[in-house]
Amino acid sequence: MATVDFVGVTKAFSGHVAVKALNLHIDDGEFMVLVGPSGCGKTTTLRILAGLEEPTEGDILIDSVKVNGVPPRSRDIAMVFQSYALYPHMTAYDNMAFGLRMRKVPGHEIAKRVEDVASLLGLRMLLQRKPRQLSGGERQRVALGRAIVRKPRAFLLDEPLSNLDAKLRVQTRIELQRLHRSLNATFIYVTHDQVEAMTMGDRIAVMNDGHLEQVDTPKELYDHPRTLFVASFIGSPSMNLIRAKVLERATVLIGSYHVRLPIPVSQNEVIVGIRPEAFKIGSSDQANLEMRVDIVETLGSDQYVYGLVDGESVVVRTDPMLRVQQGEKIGLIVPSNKVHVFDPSTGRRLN
Amino acid sequence: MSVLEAIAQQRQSAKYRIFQIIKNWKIDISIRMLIILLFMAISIFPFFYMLSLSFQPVGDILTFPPVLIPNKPTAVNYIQAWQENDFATYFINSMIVSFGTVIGTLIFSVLTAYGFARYKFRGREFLFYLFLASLVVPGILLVIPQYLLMKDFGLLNSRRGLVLLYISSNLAFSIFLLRSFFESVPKELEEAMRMDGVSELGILVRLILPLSMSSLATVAIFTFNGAWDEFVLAYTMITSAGKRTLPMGLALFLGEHTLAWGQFFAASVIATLPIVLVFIVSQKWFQQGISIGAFK
Amino acid sequence: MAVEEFNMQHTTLYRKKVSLNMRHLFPYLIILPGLIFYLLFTVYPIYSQFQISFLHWVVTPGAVSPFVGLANYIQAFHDPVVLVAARNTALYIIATVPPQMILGMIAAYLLVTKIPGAAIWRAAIFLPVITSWVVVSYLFSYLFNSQEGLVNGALSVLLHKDIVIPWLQDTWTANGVIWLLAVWKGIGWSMVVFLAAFMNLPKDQIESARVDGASSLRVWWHVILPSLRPVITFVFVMLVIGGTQAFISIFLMTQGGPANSTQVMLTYSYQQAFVFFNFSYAAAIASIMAVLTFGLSVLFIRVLRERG
Repeated sequence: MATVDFVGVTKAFSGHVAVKALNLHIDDGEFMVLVGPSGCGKTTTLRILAGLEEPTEGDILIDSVKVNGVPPRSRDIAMVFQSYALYPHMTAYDNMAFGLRMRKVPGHEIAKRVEDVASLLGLRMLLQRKPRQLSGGERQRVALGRAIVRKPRAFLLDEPLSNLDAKLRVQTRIELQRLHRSLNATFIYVTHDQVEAMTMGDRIAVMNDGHLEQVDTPKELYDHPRTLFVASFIGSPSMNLIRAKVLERATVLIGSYHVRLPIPVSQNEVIVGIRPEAFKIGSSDQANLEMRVDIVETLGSDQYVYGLVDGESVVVRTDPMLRVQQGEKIGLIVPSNKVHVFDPSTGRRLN
Repeated sequence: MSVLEAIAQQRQSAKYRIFQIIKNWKIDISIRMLIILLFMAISIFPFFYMLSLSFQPVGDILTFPPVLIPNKPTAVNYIQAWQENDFATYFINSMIVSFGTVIGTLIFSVLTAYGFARYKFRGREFLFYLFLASLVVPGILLVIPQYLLMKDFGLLNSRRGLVLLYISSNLAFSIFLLRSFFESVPKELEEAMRMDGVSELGILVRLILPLSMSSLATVAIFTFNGAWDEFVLAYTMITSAGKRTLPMGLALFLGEHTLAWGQFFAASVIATLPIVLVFIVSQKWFQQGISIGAFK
Repeated sequence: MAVEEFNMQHTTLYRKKVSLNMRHLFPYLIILPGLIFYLLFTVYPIYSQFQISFLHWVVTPGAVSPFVGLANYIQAFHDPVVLVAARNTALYIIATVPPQMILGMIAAYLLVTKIPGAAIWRAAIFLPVITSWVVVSYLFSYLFNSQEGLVNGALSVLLHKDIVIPWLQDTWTANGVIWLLAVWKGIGWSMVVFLAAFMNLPKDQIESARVDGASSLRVWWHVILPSLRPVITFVFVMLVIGGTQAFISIFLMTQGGPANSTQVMLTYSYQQAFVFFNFSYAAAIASIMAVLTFGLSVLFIRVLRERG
């Protein structure tokens, strides 16, 4: 079990810079998720930690020891690839035993470890099969097993759920969390899916275009996003972000409506962020804003209403019992403590 | 008249009816079968005739008109062919040379193709095209300089010399075939091996080779074929009878035993057997290998 | 080995140098054996052949071979046999390549549709391809033997009179037999290549064309042939190169006779070298062939690239 540190890590490929001056500390036994859109540098960061790429600048530390230049096999970490990377010509057993054999672990020890892990993952009946004889979910478990058997200091997982169908994905998500708890190991998990990130991570590092936007617990990220990017990335449907002109110090103009800000600001214009579930539906005299309904999405447990407030697109979460029709006008109340304020030029949070 | 009437009238005409019959599934297949059987018959017939001749005793062969199916089939030709003029020696020499060529070609082409496939280095494409260039230069063209080169090395009249030349001529094709296959192995597998602590050569041996078995078999078969049948270089360079390979042995057969056609064909059949066997056994691999190698 | 040990053994500077060297050198090292082999036994001979063609090669060991410039080439262009050989080589290609391609394609087409026992027919038609040139050359010599050959025998039976055509003794009948042998032996190869191509046709495109209402002919012209173009070109180039390599059949069946009338460039070159020991002259003829073949191939490959 180990701590991991990225200190000023930059990685440049010919053409573009994938990771820009990354500083990140991961605690021992933590489940850290690196999340962000494609091309944000999260996979590159993982590969640098694995030793498959060398940083252009900066240092990687595992347990406070610098590991730049140390080959992957000496770093004592295990990686689960997105495509599982199972050796096609070997059985599931051999796939899991391979790393141990390379490390000259004695045969009986190998057998014991593989059997134990196979039991843990429900693979005991499948050990003699080759990858092509296994289903997607089974292959993924073998890939996991191959990593676990090594008893590494840290587990690196590169989008392990992306090749599974939706139902299996949810199931495996839960199993992974259980696994993390039982192994008590440091997990570093890469995904582009913010739902996975939010549900699984102890802390989440949100990356965009090579930058680390924010690293925090899921709750903090959700309640106090520090940049516009994080605000719009976390949460589905996305937070409503509306450009608004500032009137007297604590009020903005959204369309023709006045909305109070939680804090006074010095800018002329700000971007106001309100989550769909923050709105309350009210009558016209109570309401701050009036929305003309465009599309209604009923999900059974929730209902999302898309519409326009004086030309601005807004989405509101409502009680599924509330009946609204297209073209109808409904009143929205904006509790000022649920308003997020951002500086339009820097994208940084102001409140 | 209306469109419907016009169509109806057309349907009545004899020409259309015949057209319909031809389109009829059953007859269609029969025609195709017939043509294919014709192709096959033409391809096989000479061999069939050769086989038949090989079982005919010497006297019968010179009859005119020639007999297709022997009246009194005899294996005497085969026995004589095998026992006389060092035929067994030629057979063994061919075996030695062919296997040597296959092993040498596999080793060199695997190493080289691996280098081209998995590493980026300066001059890679240039060197690769250098290899490919030899594919358009027919091998036989080089008999003269290769002969003189072997003479300088003192390798004339040696099986070793033949093997060296054969290996070299097979390298380009094998490297081309193997490189494209090696490149198709997903990089993530290689990275997983690296993380498991396997060395560069280890990756070649433990990962790439087991996965490339079908391509390696294709290379082996092509190489074996080429070496087994090779005539020009062998004929030019081997001067002592004890080192001759089969193709040479066959060619000289008739010289030494004029008119011993039955024996000659028996010897030819024996000489052809290994290749036919290898071919039949490798049917599946052959198809796969050609379709991979034929298209860039 | 553990990280600590590793770090102890290498300071940062040293580590950078070592890893740079090893990673850089490895690919060169691994291709070196094959490369050296190839350079020595294939590339050098190509070069030395040209070199020899510019000398007057003296066979006696130790003697110096004087430089004679283009003398051998000039002699070649004035040599009537070279003209005949060139003519024969060209005719060989013209006479054997198209039939192999067309018949091969037909056979492949027939096989790709569902016929019972397809694998057997395919193997049978491919058999001539893998058989030794030596064996089939003599086989055809025997078939076309003027006295005992089956061909003359069958013709005699069919036409009710003694047919004694001296197939291999007369220039044009001999050439005909040589070409027939080449086509007979080669159909299987182009068949197999086209078969693989047919099986790899873009089914989606064909089906969508059919759904769009295209007739079979249209589908062939607009969808199938274009996707076959690279294969057709590939087969064509390979067959032409194969045609320039024609040697064994002519060597064994006619020895270039009668009176050098069935020589092709390679057989003449060989004869000059190993019968008359005119190595330089032979090298010149072979070099001309090499340049022509190379030039043709490069031309064809360019065409392939452009259309590809």
